[in-house]
Amino acid sequence: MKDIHLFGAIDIGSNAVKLKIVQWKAEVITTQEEISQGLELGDEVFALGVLSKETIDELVEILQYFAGLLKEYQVEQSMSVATAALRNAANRGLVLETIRRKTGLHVQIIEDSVEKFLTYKSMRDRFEDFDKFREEGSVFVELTSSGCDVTFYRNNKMIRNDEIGIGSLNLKEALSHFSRDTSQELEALESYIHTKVDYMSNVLKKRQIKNYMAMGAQLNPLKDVFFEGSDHISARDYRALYDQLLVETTFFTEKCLEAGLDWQEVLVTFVFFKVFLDILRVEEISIPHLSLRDGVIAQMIDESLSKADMYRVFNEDPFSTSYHTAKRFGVHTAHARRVESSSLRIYDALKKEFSLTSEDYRVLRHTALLHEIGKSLDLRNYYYASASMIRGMRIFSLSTSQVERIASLCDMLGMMASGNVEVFTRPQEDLRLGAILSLADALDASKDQLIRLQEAKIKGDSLHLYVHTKHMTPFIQETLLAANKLFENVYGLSLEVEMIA
Amino acid sequence: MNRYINRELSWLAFNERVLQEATQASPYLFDRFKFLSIFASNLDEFFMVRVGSLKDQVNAEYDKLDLAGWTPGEQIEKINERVYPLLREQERLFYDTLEEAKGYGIHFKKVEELDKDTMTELKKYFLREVYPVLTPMAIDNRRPFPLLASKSIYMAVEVEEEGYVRLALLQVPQNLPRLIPVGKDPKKQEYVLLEDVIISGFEYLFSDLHIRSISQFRITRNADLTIHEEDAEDLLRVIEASLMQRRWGEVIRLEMRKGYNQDVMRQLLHFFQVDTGSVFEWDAPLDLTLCMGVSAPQGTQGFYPPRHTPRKIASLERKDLFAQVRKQDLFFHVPYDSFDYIEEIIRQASEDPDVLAIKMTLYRVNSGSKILRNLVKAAQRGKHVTALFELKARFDEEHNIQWARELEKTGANVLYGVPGLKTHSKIFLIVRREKDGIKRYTHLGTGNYNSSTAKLYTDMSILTAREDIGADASRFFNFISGYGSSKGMSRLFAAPEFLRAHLERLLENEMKAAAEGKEALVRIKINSLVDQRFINKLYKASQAGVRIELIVRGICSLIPGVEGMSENIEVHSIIGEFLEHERIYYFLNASPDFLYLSSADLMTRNLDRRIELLFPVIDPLLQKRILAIFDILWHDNVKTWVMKNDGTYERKQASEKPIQAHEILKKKFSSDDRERIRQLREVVR
Repeated sequence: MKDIHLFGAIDIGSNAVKLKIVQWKAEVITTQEEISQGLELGDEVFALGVLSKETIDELVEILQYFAGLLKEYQVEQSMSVATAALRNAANRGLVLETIRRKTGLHVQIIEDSVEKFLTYKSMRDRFEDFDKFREEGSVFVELTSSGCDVTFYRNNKMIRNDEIGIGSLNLKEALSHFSRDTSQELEALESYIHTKVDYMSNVLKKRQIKNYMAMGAQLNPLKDVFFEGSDHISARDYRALYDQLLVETTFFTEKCLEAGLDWQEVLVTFVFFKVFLDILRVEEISIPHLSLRDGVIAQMIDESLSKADMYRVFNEDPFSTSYHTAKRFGVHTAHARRVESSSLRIYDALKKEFSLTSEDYRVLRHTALLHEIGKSLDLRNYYYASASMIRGMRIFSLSTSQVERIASLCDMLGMMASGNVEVFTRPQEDLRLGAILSLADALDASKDQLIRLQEAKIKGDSLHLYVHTKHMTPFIQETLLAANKLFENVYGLSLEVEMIA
Repeated sequence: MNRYINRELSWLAFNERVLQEATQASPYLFDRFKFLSIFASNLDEFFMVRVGSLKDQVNAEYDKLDLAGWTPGEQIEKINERVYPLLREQERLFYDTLEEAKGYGIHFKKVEELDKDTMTELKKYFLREVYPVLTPMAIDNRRPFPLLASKSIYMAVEVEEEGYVRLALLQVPQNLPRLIPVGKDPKKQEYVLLEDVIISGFEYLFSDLHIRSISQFRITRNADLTIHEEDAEDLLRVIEASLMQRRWGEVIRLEMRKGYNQDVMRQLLHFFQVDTGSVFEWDAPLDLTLCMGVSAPQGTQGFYPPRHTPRKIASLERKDLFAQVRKQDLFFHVPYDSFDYIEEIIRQASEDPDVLAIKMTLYRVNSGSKILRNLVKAAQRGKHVTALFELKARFDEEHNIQWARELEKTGANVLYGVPGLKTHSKIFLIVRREKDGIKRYTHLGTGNYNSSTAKLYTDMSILTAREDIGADASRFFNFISGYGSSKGMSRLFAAPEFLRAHLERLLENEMKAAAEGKEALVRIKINSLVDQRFINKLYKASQAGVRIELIVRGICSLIPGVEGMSENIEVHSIIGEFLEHERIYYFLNASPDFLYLSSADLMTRNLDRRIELLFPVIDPLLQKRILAIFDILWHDNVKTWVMKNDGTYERKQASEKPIQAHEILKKKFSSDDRERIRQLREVVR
């Protein structure tokens, strides 16, 4: 089967364990197998803090079946991921080990930000209007059991991605609480959500939002039961149901139970998205069929088939959000962009010889964009301030350890700027990125983008930098000299700067 | 007037139609013997299952009324009222047929009618073959009444020794031929009954004892096993255990051959705990399934019907079936078409290195099944084989368990049904890795993967490489394996979740069309129509102006042709050489799919308590072909019975142009699809 590939993704979520096997052929993805097997891991971990032996056995049994299907289709590449439920289970180590031993599957626990990045990446293959949606001012609200994400798109870019600390599990708890205290529990719940999303509400009201896209585990059953399965629900219909609920909820409960749904979870989901409908004042809610497993598959295709172009705009989203974060903190964005582009050219020149990784690439780019956000706090020691701010941030698509690397690189830039030799005690892989960033920063030390790095190339024991410039100011020459020293110490390469017309 | 016919009486009416085939209706005497035998065997099963179930209900004081408004007890009474005359009719036909058989040289002899030489031979036969397997069981105060097997003939023999009378029981061995050929005249086929041979050898069994009376009897035990699956840890063990129970279930019928001793009968009633209402007297030999064993002297003309050889499909002979299916959907109509192709594709799949997986549901499997042998081979060759064996397939469990174990040994994924639901769907899926990607081949049918019944039961099936059907099939197999659900299938509809609702939607759509003044037509061919909800929907559709043509072979609780209720409904039943078994559903105004085949009848158990599949016929040529076949069946005027609005049936009167569907469909038609359709349509023109 030439140019035909089979990929498999397993997603161990809070409410279900899911499998998808797809065939990739000429950029067309066709589903071969898709199974969602309900298993309430989230509730158990939320209640007990661990997964019981019975649940682990059940999980393993499901995964054995899934592993059998992966084998049956002779899937070339597969990836199994687990999210919040397993991440929060105190006995996750035992669970992962048991799964590996009994099914041969290596499950990776991924963090929220990575889960979101992958899920949103599936938009390309799962949401027909994704380009129109990204182009116009649009908001994507996602509710999970443990949290909520609000993402804003414009001009085909992800502009910001914020997390709000309420998930459907908290909302369910809140609803139970309100039900005990008041007969107007829906209004109480709505007010509660409003207070939680207050900040985002102000941000969103300022922007011209045209589209509202919603996602949540209970949203599909909700639309199936109450909106005839439509992927687009008009604001009028949505509000009409809400008004009905204010009068009485029995019909809602009965319909949910009939469909085998957790009515409380469906109800809190419904109210949650209603709050955003009021904030955004749009005509309808769109419900796309995005999923983590589709995103995992997109990621595998992206990485293994070098079809980066297919997912280019999605891969750019994390950098776009970092850029806009920097902008919000008043960073001189032209400088940040220049450091970013120079860093990437130097990275390209060095990656093969020094085995730089794709993670290095991502960390480098984010650091280039964010390294000066600390100026909004402390102009004197802004690198350290940047590091400290980044440590408190969540960066879309990056794990905590990757965020820590970025912060650490900012620290290193500060140390390098002050000539602190302690910098050489840092891990070699970080030092390498630090040296690149320091050099890229030096090339635009005057912050006026007078020098543009056209190309970087290793020749013998030197790294040749071909730059466009009208003239080299003494200040730039001096900073380049300092960066050169560091660069030589880290890479063993001397720098040769060549000016081109 | 009642809106429904009681299902048991409707079934007895069906069996009566079967019995009518043993009259002059068939030109071949063998067929008449065959139908006598089928009638007897059907009735046995009816007592074991249906009457058994009603008795259970009576014992449990379960008084729920049936569709016709009768309690279980009342139903048993009505059944008995109907069965007695049927038995007398069966006896009459048996003797008539025997009389006529003499014309073919076939004679049932009494032992005392045999000449001396034949007697000597028979005695030798008795001592060599019969005597060693006979074990008289004495009954007295010290020895409890032994457990007797269901459907086996016994003799209760009163023997007297020194003035003391005892009872001995003797089983007529089931492993010996019931009809023992005697005589040497090649132009004659003479038989004596095994039980008569045994009686003639009593001198060896009861030497020195005086035989006071011989009472021949046969019991039928309750075989309606209700397996509480939820309580069972291991379904397999439960089934095996219940098989053991089946042999010794409650006695629900006692058949006595005339000439029995009244005292003995009273003792038997006591032993079996049955009342006189459950006793059926026979003048003819007990268990007339023996008729199937009757044969004519060699060279006799006109006794046997011409032997039917299923058609070969020229375009599929010695071909790569996968390549053929890729070109177009393949249609098989057994027993007219050979079942070999179904077996062949499994064989090809088992040997094909590109085949990744074979998945199949198995309900009733024949012994020596080629399909199963090849599934075993496929698994041995490392292919992923999934086989769902339905262990709750009544009377076939032993077979299925043996095969399941065999397959399990090879490492195949063997499933034993879905708890709480009987898996009745007939489907297999072959997953193949080809040059242009993964390809799925799906076979969907109305009948079991059983090469023996495929020679007798009429069934339709389709083999397709359509991707949407394949994707649905994959989803279906995951569902029956316990993973995911049957929700989300695009072309297939599975019971119990979606099949009923889909049929109802299609029916409502026809009603809507009728309301809009369009022509509205529903044509359904099934084995049984019992489900009250669906019957009511059909009545409603009839009242809305939808024309409804039903071919229901067996039970039909719907009453057609009643003014204001069902005047637009017509019901036919075909009883002929083959057992009508296809399930066809056609809705004139449905779109895009308007013609479906299914494993499901319109019985509540099929719609709500079984896993069944309804699948569309998508290929336009196949649609035309199947509708043309339906037309032929509908216009049959030789083997068709028409249900009247009092619930009784009358044979359709053949017009100048007799149409006998089975005979027509046996013919060889053009291999060109369009021409074949034209030829089929020509039949009813």
